Amino acid sequence: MQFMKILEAVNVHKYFPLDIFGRKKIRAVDDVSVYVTPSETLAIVGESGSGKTTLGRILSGLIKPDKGKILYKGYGFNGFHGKVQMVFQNPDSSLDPSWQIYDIVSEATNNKSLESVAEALETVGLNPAYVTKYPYELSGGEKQRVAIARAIATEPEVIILDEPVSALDASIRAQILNLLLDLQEKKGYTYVLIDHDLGRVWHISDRVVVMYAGKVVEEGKTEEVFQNPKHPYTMMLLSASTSSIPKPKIHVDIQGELPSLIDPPSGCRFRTRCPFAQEKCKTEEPQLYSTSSEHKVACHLFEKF
Amino acid sequence: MIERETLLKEMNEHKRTIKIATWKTFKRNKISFLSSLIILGVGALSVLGIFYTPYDPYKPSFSEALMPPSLTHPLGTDWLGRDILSRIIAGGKYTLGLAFVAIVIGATIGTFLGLASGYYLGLIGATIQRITEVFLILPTLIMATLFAAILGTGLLSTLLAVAIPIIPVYAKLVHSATLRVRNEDYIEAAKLLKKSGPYIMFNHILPNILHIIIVQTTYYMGTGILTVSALGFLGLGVPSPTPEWGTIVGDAKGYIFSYPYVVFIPGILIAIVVVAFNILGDGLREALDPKLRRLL
Amino acid sequence: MKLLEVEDLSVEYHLPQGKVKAVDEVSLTIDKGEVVGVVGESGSGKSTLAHAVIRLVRPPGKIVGGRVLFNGQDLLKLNDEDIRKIRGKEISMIFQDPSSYLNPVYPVGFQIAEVYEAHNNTNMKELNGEVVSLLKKVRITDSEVRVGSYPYELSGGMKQRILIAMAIALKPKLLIADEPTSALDTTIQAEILSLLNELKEEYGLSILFISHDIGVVSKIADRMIVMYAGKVVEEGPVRRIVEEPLHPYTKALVLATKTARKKKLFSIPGTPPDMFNLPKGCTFYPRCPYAKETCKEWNYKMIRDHEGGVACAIYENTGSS
Repeated sequence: MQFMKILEAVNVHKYFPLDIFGRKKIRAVDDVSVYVTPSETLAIVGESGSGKTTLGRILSGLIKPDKGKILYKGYGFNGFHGKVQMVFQNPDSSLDPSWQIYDIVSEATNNKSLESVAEALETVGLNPAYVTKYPYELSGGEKQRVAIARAIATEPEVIILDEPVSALDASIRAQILNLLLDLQEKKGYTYVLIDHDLGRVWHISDRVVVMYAGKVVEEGKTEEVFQNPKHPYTMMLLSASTSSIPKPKIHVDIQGELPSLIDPPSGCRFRTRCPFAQEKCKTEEPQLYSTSSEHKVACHLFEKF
Repeated sequence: MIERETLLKEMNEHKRTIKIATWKTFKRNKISFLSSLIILGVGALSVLGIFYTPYDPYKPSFSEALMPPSLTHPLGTDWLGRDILSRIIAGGKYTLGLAFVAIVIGATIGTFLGLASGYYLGLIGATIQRITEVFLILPTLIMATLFAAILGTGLLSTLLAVAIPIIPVYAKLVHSATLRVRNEDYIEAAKLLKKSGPYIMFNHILPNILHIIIVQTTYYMGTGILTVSALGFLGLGVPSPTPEWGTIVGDAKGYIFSYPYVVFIPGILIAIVVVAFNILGDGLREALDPKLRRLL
Repeated sequence: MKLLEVEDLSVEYHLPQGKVKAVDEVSLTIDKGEVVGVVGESGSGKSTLAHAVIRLVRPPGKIVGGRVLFNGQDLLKLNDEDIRKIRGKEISMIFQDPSSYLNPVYPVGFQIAEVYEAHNNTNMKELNGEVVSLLKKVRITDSEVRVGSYPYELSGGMKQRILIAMAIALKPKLLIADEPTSALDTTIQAEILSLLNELKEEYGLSILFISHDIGVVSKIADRMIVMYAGKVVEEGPVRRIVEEPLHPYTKALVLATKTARKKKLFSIPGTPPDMFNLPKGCTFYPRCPYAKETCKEWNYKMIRDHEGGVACAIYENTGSS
């Protein structure tokens, strides 16, 4: 292997039971393998209900998979080791409202000194005088900066960004994304970006994993996947985007909605919405076929596209 | 470093401004503020009663029996000639003290159980909650009467009879409050920082639900006083001649038509204190809610 | 004649902390069959503006000035009874969170039928056919079955379609859409946008489309209005604004959507304005990369041409000649 995988999920499953007997389960993540290499940005995209958020939490260790394992630098781990941190979507929920900013950030530092907290705040572009404030005194963008400061204060290797700017105002989004790019450049962090916005994925990711109904349907280098999508679902997502990203060669109109995750369709899960679906798609579940060394797609018909 | 000193000073000052703002909101509610003064006054009198009463609250003096309020006996005397004011002052430590200690014990145990069951869920949580629900079948007062009947009369058994029924009430309240907070992202962030369950419960969850517990405790102080007095009144609580307020009323109930003040003065006092605690609870609810802080 | 003419509309909120001018002398017009987008971030007053047009500003908000001419009739002068007749029938509205506008205990078909009944006194039973065809119109599959569905059985996108169905049931002339796709997935958002486009073509519906996302607005609107701190800072045809934004704030919004791989985005510093403490002069001045000393004393003025206008000191001298 030429590259080291810093964080890896191997065949992870996560089913959420709906009743105490566990007869009905939501198959949130269903046999998924992803990895991320040092200092790269892996994006996980999909609609809500695709399992991307659950997968992000499995990678962080917050959710234990039912089956499969998480490897950090090749070793399995149980519980938390502090090297994987997370930035959450909702800035209002990610900071303890009864703590001052100093306490919030110093909880993450090793020596709890005021200097290290001030340094972390300066790194994310906040005035160190903010240590005295409470979260309710901060704007959404500032809260998100504090959340980033908390994450980097632990000197992590991997930061999982769960829709880090979706809840922010348009003029603030660019600031936060620039900050994230800056930090990666300076400190070499590895990012896992979970986002529904393809414009942002195109902007900052190196590799992308497209998820649909708990499965990976396509993965590969971002340029490759965006410019030469092989899965009809990826084409549909690209067609639907309002961001300035490459338009797919084959435009796929949006139709239908995400299928039931309790009782997903047989064969290919996307076939109920796929304009190209054939008989084979109903009976046989597609494997992840490799179209090039790093580009994989789970579609029987990929050779046609 | 100078900067360091100023920052630390500012941090403490800022913490104080929030406390001042909370105090100001509280003071703005005049009735609630008045209630707190009443409670403080009655509390102070009860503390005084430990050391000093105008007359001996226990010693009968038949020559002075059933005297109406006068200058020598501001609230009159009872059928044994005991000064009612002295008995009320002396009884505060029983009624208020018992209620306070019982509520604090019940609230503390219940809060621990609720935090644990709300945070861990799973088997621990389910067990705690099912047991809790069994105890919640009956109203607090009936539950307390039941325990008092089993445990017998006396200080300790009254204490337990009032405290035990409070435990499930708090366990349930804190459980549901914990559920609302446990899925907040800052809890997840703390987990990623390798913080332990108890650490998260006491540092992240408890401070954010404390205002709910304080407000509830204020209401339950009223309930506790009422329960202690009711048990005394029924003869199931602190036995006479101890001047516990409910006991005083219970002992005197035969005189309700002939010498009403013997019954009504301690009775009205109980009512005033209970109502004051309830109004105080309303005021605290407004002042302490951290969500309303941004409006200050 | 213009369908809707808003002239110098102002809305104020009186809060314990002080007075906020949420909408400050905003003017806009909508032609028949035209879609006008209003773009701005939180605190810009875009949502208050949308509500003020049909006099649905919630207290402590209050309309304090201006005119709202709908077909030449000033809506602000109508009595409550008359404005109620216009709401829903002539002007209807859809919102960001459809769930809170649907009653969870009634089937959606019944709730749509209620709209007819409220305005036409028609019998509920006769309406089933109409409701089904309406659901077909908003592209709900299995509409015969979906008539009987309860809101909890539907996804967010479906609920938004139900709300659109209710909004267009009485064939209104103007639809006010307040962030109708912000809570939805990109795919569902694209579907709702194309549905709205279709309804516009078919009925000649005019739409006032409120959004924080300039990309979404550019997909549906003909003209765009950009708001900042309660004021209009730029207005004009969508294509012109997206290709050649004039106001520095609009520039920032447009450039922030131009994502180039791994490059820094153009970003403006600072945070959205504190409405209790707006800066004197140009309200955007503290965040503006082109700010000059004179901007502190600048008086708000819209420099107009035949297509639109911009409110920025940079263009003041060149524009007037």
